Amino acid sequence: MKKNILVALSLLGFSVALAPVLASAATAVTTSANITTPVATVTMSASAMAAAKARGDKELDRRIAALTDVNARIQTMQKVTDAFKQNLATNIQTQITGFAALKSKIQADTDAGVLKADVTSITQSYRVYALILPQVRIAAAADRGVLIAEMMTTLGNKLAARIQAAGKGGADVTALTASLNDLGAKISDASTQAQASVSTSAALTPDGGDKTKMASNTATLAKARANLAAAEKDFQAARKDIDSIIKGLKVAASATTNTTVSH
Amino acid sequence: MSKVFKWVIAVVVIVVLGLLVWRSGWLTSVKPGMQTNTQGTKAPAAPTNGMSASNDASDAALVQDSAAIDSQMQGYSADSAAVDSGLGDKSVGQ
Repeated sequence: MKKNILVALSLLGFSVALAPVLASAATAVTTSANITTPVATVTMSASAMAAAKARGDKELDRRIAALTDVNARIQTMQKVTDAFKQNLATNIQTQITGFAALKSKIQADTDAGVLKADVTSITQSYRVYALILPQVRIAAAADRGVLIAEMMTTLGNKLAARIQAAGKGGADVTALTASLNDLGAKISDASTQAQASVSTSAALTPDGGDKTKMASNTATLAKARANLAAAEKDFQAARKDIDSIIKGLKVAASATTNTTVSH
Repeated sequence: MSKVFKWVIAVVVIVVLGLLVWRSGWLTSVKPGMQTNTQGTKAPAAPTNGMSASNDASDAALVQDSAAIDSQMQGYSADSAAVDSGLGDKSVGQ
């Protein structure tokens, strides 16, 4: 029995090492402000140009707001280094600055072809919604996943100590130990899935209008999303294990008390 | 006589030393009722993210830790769902 508890404890003692993986993510989220889009000869009426400028302005504002929002989320990440957070925040800020410059450029555009290329670059060159925001949000979710794994490990160690004490007191802790083993396995898998979500998505770069690359990026992000979902499922199962152990400890305590009283 | 004198000197020295120690505050720095760490108990580790102290395995601590984990799991669901919001980016119309 003691051996089983020790196995469970060793399972709970896995190391959490998200930071090195995330470190590569910081370099992946780079600015695309210098990407040049080919300019085609385009004719556009003055009203059409004004409408295009208004659309571009609105889309840029939407993206700047989303980037500002995700930048705030980066600041609440706990399991990465300050340097990593700063790097990510700097890259996001560079994107925001690039968009601000693009806003001014679009408003000043007088050539229809240049205007069209600039407006197109909002999505194709930057891919804020399709790539950058998902990348950062995946990193943020993975960061929280590692935090949850740590918290569950801390609680798991406390439960292991309580199970061991209950066993020494004469209670049957077979089922509790099985739940503890499962808890350790679920935490370990959740951590692996969270890290995989970052390592698969961190190195992606904007497709720049390349449909094949865009499809590949979308597929990779979907895979990372599936990793996060798998981790969430593990956490839910682990949470059930925790509940069942806590309930089992109460039953074991009352059984031990009754046995002691009847003696 | 000299023996009595030596005793007097010794008593004076002890009294003076006692006064110096008392004046320095060394004797009064540990006040009665504040000796919390005299029984070999460790000060509890500072709790983070709503968790109880890491060396507290009481029933109340288990409940507190479970609630803290639930809170983070809700945040995880929100983070995870937020990833989806960007996956359908459409190009800006001309």
